[in-house]
Amino acid sequence: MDKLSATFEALSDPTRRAILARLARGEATVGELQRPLGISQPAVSRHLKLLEQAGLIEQSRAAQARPRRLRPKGLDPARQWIDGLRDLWSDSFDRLESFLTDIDGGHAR
Amino acid sequence: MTDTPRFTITRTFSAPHARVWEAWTKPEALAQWFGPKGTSSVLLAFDLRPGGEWFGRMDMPDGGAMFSKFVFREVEPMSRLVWVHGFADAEGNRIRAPFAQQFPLEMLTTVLFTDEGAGTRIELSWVPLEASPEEEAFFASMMASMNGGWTGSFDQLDEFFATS
Repeated sequence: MDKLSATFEALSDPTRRAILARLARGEATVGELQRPLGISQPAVSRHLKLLEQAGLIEQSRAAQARPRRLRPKGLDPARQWIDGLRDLWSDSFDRLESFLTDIDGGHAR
Repeated sequence: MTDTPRFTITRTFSAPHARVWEAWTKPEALAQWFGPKGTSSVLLAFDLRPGGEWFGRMDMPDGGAMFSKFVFREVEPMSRLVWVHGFADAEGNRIRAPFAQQFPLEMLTTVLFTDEGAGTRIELSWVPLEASPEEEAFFASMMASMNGGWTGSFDQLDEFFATS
């Protein structure tokens, strides 16, 4: 799977989005992430592994508990891709609007 | 199949119906507006009839180019255009979307033209065509993002990245 697909796959799951939202408030250990989610530690670890492979989070190596934290810029490629797809039509529609206005202006003169 | 993900965008243009239809069906008009800002479109082939092809190159601001090939399925003058939408190589062979292998290989685009007051309303929709469950899931997760499903998380993450 390419990196961008891995990112979208990681984002497609509500539990993983909850983990990202939690990490947005600050780094957290596996145990700290597990408690509010109410799922097993291996399940949390699987989600974390997918998020890490997608480049969205990283492990802090400083402490023994290795808290996870968000990886700055991890979301950028996914956002750019989405923006590009949405812009294909919203930008086109903007340009079509000016194009139609220009024609009207031409006829009015 | 009500659970097929669908992308829809609607806008009303303050121009007469016939003029809007022309803007969508005349290659010289399409070349002037089709594509994201900063890109320029070159229509290499445009055959407006069921089975006919719209083969185009999109020149990107960074100097790169992307080719797309659309195949018309329905052409109902003044009311409806339907085409199979996908990426292509320079020879017009169908290829997967650059950068995202799980993006559906082809999508069905439907454009509806209706009168709205003195203007013309365009409704464009995209549905994955004969997509695998993985491709549909990928498309659905992108739609969720576009339609605001992830916006909350994104905003939160943006704040984090802005302050870190």
